[in-house]
Amino acid sequence: MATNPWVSQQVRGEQNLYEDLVIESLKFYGQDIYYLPREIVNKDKVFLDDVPSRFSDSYKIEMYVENVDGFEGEGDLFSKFGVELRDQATFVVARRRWKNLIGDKLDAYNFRPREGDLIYIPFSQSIFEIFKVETETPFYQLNQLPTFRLQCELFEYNDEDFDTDVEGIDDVEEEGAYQYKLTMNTPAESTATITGGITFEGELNNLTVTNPGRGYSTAPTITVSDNPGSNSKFGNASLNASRGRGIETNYLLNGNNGTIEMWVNVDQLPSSGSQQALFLTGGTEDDLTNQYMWGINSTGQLVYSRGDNQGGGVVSPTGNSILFQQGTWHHLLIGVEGSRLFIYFDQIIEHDATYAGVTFNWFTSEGFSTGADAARELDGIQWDGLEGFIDEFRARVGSRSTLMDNRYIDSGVNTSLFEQDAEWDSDVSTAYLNHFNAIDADLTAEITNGQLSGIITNNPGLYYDIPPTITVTAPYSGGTYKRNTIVEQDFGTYTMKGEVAKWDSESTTLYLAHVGATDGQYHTFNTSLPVVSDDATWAPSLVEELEYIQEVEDGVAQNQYFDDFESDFLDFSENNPFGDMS
Amino acid sequence: MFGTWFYHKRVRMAVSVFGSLFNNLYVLRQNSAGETISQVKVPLSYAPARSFIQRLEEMRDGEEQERRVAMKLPRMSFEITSMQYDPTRQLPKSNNFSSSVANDSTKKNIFYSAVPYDITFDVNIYAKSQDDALQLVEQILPYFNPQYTISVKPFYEDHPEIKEDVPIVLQSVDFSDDYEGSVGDRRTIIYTLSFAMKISFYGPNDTSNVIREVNNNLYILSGDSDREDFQYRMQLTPTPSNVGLDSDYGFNYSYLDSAL
Repeated sequence: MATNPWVSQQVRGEQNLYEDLVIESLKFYGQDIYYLPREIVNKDKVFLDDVPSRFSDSYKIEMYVENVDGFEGEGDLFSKFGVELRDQATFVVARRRWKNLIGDKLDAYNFRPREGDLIYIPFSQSIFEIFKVETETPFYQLNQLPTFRLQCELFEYNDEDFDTDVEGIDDVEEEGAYQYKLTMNTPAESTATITGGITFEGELNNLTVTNPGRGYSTAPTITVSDNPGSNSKFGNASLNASRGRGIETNYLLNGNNGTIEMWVNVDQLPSSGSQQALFLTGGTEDDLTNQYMWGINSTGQLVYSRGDNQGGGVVSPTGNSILFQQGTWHHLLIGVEGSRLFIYFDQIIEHDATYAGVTFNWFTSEGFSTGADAARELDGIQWDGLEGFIDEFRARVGSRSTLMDNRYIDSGVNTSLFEQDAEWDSDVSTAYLNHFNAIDADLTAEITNGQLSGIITNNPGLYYDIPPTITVTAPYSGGTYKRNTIVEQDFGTYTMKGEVAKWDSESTTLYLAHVGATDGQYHTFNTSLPVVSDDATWAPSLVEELEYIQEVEDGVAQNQYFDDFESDFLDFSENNPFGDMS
Repeated sequence: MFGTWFYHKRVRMAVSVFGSLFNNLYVLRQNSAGETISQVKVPLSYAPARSFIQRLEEMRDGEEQERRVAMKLPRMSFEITSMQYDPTRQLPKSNNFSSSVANDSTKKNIFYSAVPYDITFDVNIYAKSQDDALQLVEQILPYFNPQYTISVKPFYEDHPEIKEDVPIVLQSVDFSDDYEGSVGDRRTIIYTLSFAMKISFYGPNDTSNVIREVNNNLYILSGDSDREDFQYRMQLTPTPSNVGLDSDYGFNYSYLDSAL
């Protein structure tokens, strides 16, 4: 017989009331539980499994825990794999609440809770896996099913990825996921270092990479300390005699024939009535007769006076034919042949005359003084130091025909000081002065696998007095790795990736879970390439894999002990393919 | 009756040696793009253990973590299941070999023939998925055809120079996958590989003097009579005189008490 049509259980209003009461009671007597839907990452189409599942969402919902006297199940089992917890629990959740709060936000299979999804219980901090969902309990009260009943068992963790941002849930990775521990270098420790020497000419040589550094993603910049010669003023600054740049010394120059040559650049002409010194012959003042001071007067004329004033005060032999311009390099050559004096100014001979009764005996053992060192009062005449630069001062002995041969005059004037060749002549009869315009060395770095692997010498520099200090820019290191973010170490053909499980900023130690290489093979991190995330970049100095962490995090595992044991008791003269020793 | 205490820790060493074979196995998981997203070195332990030791170890992370999950997988364990005498490898009981005594060139250690035994180990692989388990199985099987031999130092502490080849024979591979049953039941996948490790048990080693002098009395038959006439004594000693058992050395010949 059919049911009584006058008494229907399918009254919508009563059903709703009943369901409301169920929800209300669950809110009263239930617990706040997190529901974690499983995301299938890679379905195994052969064994119909999904090994590396991910749980990136969590939904807080009230559930009633049916277990009154504790969790059910077999409890704590001592098995051949250690202690296994076989806790079981049953949860009841309101159908409508689950649908509205969770189901509607799931893309598929969203009409009921799903087996394989997880339940996190905050009060016991346990994670349960739903093994069975009873959809018909209680059985059609008022012709409806107001609740789901979830039969769950404590979750077996298998390196699943938890990114829920709920601390108690994501902690399972920190405790249980297989991890790598990377101890990061400080920036100073990561920086490459280079040393170098210099040749006699002051060129950089013997470059040695004393520390290749680590963590370079791009080639660093190499900086060589300033070459002091580049900045020295011959006129105003002290001379560095150690490399022949000074001239307050005795040169082995003897003879009546010779030339004195220099490049001059005047910063500031002397004030009216004053003159600035260019050079002084007979620098030690023992030979006043042959002591000639040459310099520039306030109009820029080339002038001279003699130590015994026999020349009659300050004399300008060339008048306005020779005028030094402020800020302009001028080439000056003064030659003597017995009584004959000739002067070239910017390649052009401006003076060629014989002084009867005068023997220019400049080239003696008394040497020369130049620039500031030459400044002094000479026979009542004050000569100030040159305010400017003197370059390539040369005093050479020999006949004019020899000295004038091509080299200084006819080859043309090259005012581009940085392009002039260095002069070196071991002939004792030749006084020399190296270029005063030293050149800074220029180096470029090459990197391989995050480390300095080569140095390209673009320019070895010139006239370094001492080996310069070579500095390499530090690789970028800094930032804070954020939990659950991905870090990468790029090896070119593949990239190692890992998820940040923990970052200890004090010890700069990074713990990574879910580590793997993009080529699908087994690789590990190295200690030269930077480990990069969106928030931080550091270079590891130590990569500890597994054994150490297992020793700490999984006290049951004995991998570390067996690993240590190998070297003592096994003879590896015959290879053991299982061991990591060879 | 036996009375002499000795303990060469052969079984203890066998367990450690066996464990070292399998302490470096990995499981890799890939995503759908073929990229490795997890590589796990599989924890290994010797299965029989004191339960409280294991509980204490699992408490080290603190109260909150103790009951968070049931177990971390995959895992491997191994255990000794039997020990059997192997008569096929038994050498004559009078055989022995010797080894030098540290800091005493006049003495030598004597090791008498060992007693061969096969120790059977079971290696258990517990995984949550077939693919995890099969990765481990496949990293093991190719090396055993059906045996793999390692060289161990049975007396590592006192005589590290003594080495012994130890064959390990793979005897069987079994697995259980209880996927059938109630939907609410847990599925466990366990592979069990059975091995026989061929080791030897040594008794107490003995110490004896090294022969450092040999005297030969040489005689000659006198004519056709049976009388032997003493000729001289030949004494043989090593040179240099302080050589040890394993040294390179020569001999000094001396002729003493000559009757000639």
